Amino acid sequence: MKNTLLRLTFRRFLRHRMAVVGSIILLVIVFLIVFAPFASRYDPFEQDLLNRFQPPSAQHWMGTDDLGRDMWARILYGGRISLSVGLLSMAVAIVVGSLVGLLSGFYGGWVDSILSRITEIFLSIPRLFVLLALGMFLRSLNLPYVKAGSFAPIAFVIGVLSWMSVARLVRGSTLELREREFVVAARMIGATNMRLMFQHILPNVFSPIIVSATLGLAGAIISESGLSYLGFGVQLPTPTWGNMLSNTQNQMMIAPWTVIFPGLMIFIVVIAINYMGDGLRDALDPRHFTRE
Amino acid sequence: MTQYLIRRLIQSVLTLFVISIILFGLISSVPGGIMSAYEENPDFSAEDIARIEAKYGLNDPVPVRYAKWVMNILKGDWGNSFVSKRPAIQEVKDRLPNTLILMGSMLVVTLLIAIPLGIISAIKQYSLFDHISTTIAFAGQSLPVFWFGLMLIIIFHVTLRRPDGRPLLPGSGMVTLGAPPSLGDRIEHLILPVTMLALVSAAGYMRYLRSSMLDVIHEDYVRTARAKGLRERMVLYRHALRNALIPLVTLIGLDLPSLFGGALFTETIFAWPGIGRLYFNAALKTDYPVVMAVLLIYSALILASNLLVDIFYAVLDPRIRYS
Amino acid sequence: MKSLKVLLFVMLAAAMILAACQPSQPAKPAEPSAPEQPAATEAPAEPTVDPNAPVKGGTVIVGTPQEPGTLSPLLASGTIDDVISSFIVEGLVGIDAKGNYVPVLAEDLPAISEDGLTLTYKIKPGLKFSNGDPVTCADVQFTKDAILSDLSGASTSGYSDIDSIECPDDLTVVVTLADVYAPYLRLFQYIVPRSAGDLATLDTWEYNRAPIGTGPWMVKEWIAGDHITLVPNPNYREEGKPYLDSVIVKILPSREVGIQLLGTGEITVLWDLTEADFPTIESMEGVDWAGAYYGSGENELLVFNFADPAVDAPADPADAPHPILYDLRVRQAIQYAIDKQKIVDALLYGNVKVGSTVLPTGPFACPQEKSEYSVEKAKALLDEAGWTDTDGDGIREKDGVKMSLKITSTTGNQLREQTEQVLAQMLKDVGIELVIDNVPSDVLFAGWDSNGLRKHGRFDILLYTTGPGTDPDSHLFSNYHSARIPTAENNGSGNNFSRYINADVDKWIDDAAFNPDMDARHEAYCKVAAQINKDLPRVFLYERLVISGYRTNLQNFQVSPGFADFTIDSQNWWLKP
Repeated sequence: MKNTLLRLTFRRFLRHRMAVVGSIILLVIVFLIVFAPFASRYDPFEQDLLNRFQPPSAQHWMGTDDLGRDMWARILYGGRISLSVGLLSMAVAIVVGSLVGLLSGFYGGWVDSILSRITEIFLSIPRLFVLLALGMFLRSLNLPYVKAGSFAPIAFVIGVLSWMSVARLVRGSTLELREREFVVAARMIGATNMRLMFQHILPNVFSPIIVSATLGLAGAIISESGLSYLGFGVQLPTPTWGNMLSNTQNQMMIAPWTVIFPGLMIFIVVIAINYMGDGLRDALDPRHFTRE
Repeated sequence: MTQYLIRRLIQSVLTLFVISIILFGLISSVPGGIMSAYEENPDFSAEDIARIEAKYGLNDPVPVRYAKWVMNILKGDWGNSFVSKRPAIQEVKDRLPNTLILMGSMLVVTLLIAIPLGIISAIKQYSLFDHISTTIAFAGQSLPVFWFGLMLIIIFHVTLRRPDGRPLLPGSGMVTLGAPPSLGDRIEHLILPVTMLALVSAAGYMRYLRSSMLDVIHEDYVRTARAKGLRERMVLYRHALRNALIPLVTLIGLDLPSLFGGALFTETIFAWPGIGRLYFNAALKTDYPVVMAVLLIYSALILASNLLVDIFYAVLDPRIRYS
Repeated sequence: MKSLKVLLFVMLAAAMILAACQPSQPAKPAEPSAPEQPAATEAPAEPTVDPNAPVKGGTVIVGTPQEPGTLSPLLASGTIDDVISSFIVEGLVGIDAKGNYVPVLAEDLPAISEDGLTLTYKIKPGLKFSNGDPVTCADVQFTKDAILSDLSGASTSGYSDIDSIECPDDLTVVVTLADVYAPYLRLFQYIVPRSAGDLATLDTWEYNRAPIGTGPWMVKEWIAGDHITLVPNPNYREEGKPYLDSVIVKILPSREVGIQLLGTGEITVLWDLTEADFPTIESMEGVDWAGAYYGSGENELLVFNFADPAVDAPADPADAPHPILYDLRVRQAIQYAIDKQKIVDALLYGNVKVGSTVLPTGPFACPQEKSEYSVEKAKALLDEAGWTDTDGDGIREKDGVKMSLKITSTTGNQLREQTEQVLAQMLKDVGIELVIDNVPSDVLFAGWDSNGLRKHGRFDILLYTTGPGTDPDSHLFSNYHSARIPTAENNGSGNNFSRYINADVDKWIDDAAFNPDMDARHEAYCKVAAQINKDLPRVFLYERLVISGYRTNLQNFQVSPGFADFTIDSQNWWLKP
């Protein structure tokens, strides 16, 4: 039964052509990023000060950057960090959002009031503005344990500011589900609240969570790049697609390739993820499906 | 309804209060600020620095500073910017019109693109037009907005030239300096920043309108209208579109925060003297009277627009009752 | 639908109205009804046209990535405040393009008495402020009172030593000092007129956004966040000058945008370029850069922390030594490992000098020998100090401590970020790991009370720019004297962030501070400079320039290392057609 449902979903997903194309592109990129040492013969950290700002050529497919490092190698390694930041912050957003949504939908009453108020507070702060302030705060902490290329703090900050839509979604579904027969029945035979929430309700809100997780991933990658562009992302020399763009506005005239490629990678990956999310939505949401 | 409104208002004020505590705590725990400017200058003695610090009230502990700040706000005094020494609210007032012009033009252009495209895509679902516009919308939604701005500058300002050698379009500022003021000049300066923002946000609205239009088209009352023999145009515009636009208004209302977020990048990249840039510079200098003024005014705007959306809904949709 | 339209319309309309109501300009003293016509006395029109004769008229647009906070020298807190203010405000003395003190409103540099306690200035006759008031000794008194008043944000050093200012006549100023103040020449580089306002309301004066000065320009309007328009001061002392009709100071979002605008000719001057911008500037037609000819005297430098960063602000690093950097051999090894010339050639396109001394220029210059680049010597010193790579990861260890250091600088400065990355590579070659951890500049330069990391010693290595200015007295004292180690006891005052203690250096600095004899001071300072290079609390990477870019049709554009920066000759600016 479960297997056929999965297969049905998969078949529906395959019918969404762009989603399939997006997934394939994404897979290829992830593959390249994971096997970066084989995909590029250059070390992304190796400087060559005599060959700064070389335009794209057979040797350097995407040219070289301000310290003569190979752009293609940096794009690949930068992808590791950018995707990791995206995944980590998405995970934070999903965990926090699901918890808040579940609790507030399940218990209702004052719990719901308080949690909804908190959600509203987070929704009412101008996100990017606060992200900037948080980024600055983070930098100023001057954490003693900062290691080269640590990205967890940034990912955490982005995640903490993007769980609200997940919470709303989960809350809505939980409200609906907790009155359903199977939940009521489970409650009658003495299931604990924990059990009800995590074993009976949570699996049933999974599909909207997956969809918003995909879209959240895309959003997080863009947020990272924006924050890095403004100068509060991951520290150099560790590349990310965002911080590769951070100082490039003054290179636009002499080395436009340093501006074009990192942004293009973000664009391609994000559009691929968005298409994949769209396909997943169609595949997982039967209502949407029947209409077509 | 009145009771509901009052409750919502009280809630909003409380929310605003909590937000202000969080933001104030955050901003004032960042070291540095106005005093940093004096630290590197050995001509400023320790006594000079202590005196200046006291002058700005920076030697108080954070809770005391917050309490003072709240008391002053309640009296209508937003404090003076540490950098410019002018009232913080004046700094905001000076730049607000510029941001509103940018945002207003952007919203108009966005809707001018999104509404027709969304409608046509929905009516001609799965046509070539639908596919193309949906693809463009997807692309628009996936663009890192600041990078798109940089690309626009590279293409339309740096690369493309007019016959007389000047850049095709201005890449910064609101007007050409030294030139006599003219409407055409102002519009020229709006083109790139508005394009940058409008394409990205039109994408979202277009897709949203398309799907809500599709939802509505399949509703019973639209079928009934058709069955009654009303003309297709009539059905679409009188019945379907109307109902599809309501959620769009909600979306715009709820989207305000991210719209203003966009202003931060646009104004930074295109040298637009608006709130976003004011905020960015003030944040870098931990000029907290200005930072707090901007954040609070934004938050208030957002809360107000949420409230308006609710009221709008209640008025337009008789099915919703607030108690 | 209809309500939506109405809403939009109202929003737009409101935006337009608000825009229209923008305060057109800050209030300023009434302008003289008709600008005087200097044309009659100015070069009578000759039939032969000299292409090098100044052309009158035209507008120069100056781009700056920062907006001045105020134009009042009493409240200025940023470099840009002083620079733009210099278009308008002048002092009894100033600093010329070569970095020397020169008289401006005074006829000569002040005469100093034998005991070093009395200074006498003579004001040039016939000088007027832009509002028509004459410049008198009373204005000098007022300036001193303003600087020392409660609301002032100005440096009081030197001024707080003034016992009294006497005015035997309107044009003679006799300043009596309570103590010898060796750098006395730096006093009165700006004059605030009595008409500026009441000292009790100093921070809200109209003067702050439209100063009344003696310089060639005055403020016509200031649109916050956008631009400041300057027009000629009708009472300027040089007849027929300035040549230009106006100067517009345009606020830009960033230096990068500024470079593009300079390239397209939308701005004429761009303030504050960095050495990294040379290739872009040189790739553009009709654009050039000007730097202070003798440099700014500032060095881009590394500051080593002698003390353990985990201990809060120790008074003596011997009590809590830095596990890696306290050892002189390690610091020497780091200097040997750095190829300064390569940094200069590759990142700065060979346009600057390698750093070698704390006092590179000016009347107190003390040139020192350049440091040697030698990977072998660096490695040998590290081996000798007991740091060896035992686990084969390419980074040395000693007693379980990894040779990993953090370098902290300001975010968003591309040149610094490049320098840090290149340094990391160079140090990696000798087995030292350098981790970059940058913070916004205001955070880096934060004071003691706001938990500044420099003041509390929470760093390994810092990278930033600083320099002695024209008179090195306060810089050397504040940065290298052991009394200037920031600690809880002294409320965190002083900039000796290395926590460097050397009794000889202390003595030489103290001796020079109370000796009005220039040569004796110079000698003492050179001993300090030599000793610093031996003890290595800091490593000087390269000498900074003060650079501005300009369109080459602008004539007489130059840059000074003093306050005035590129505004130094603005009365002589003219545009070649």
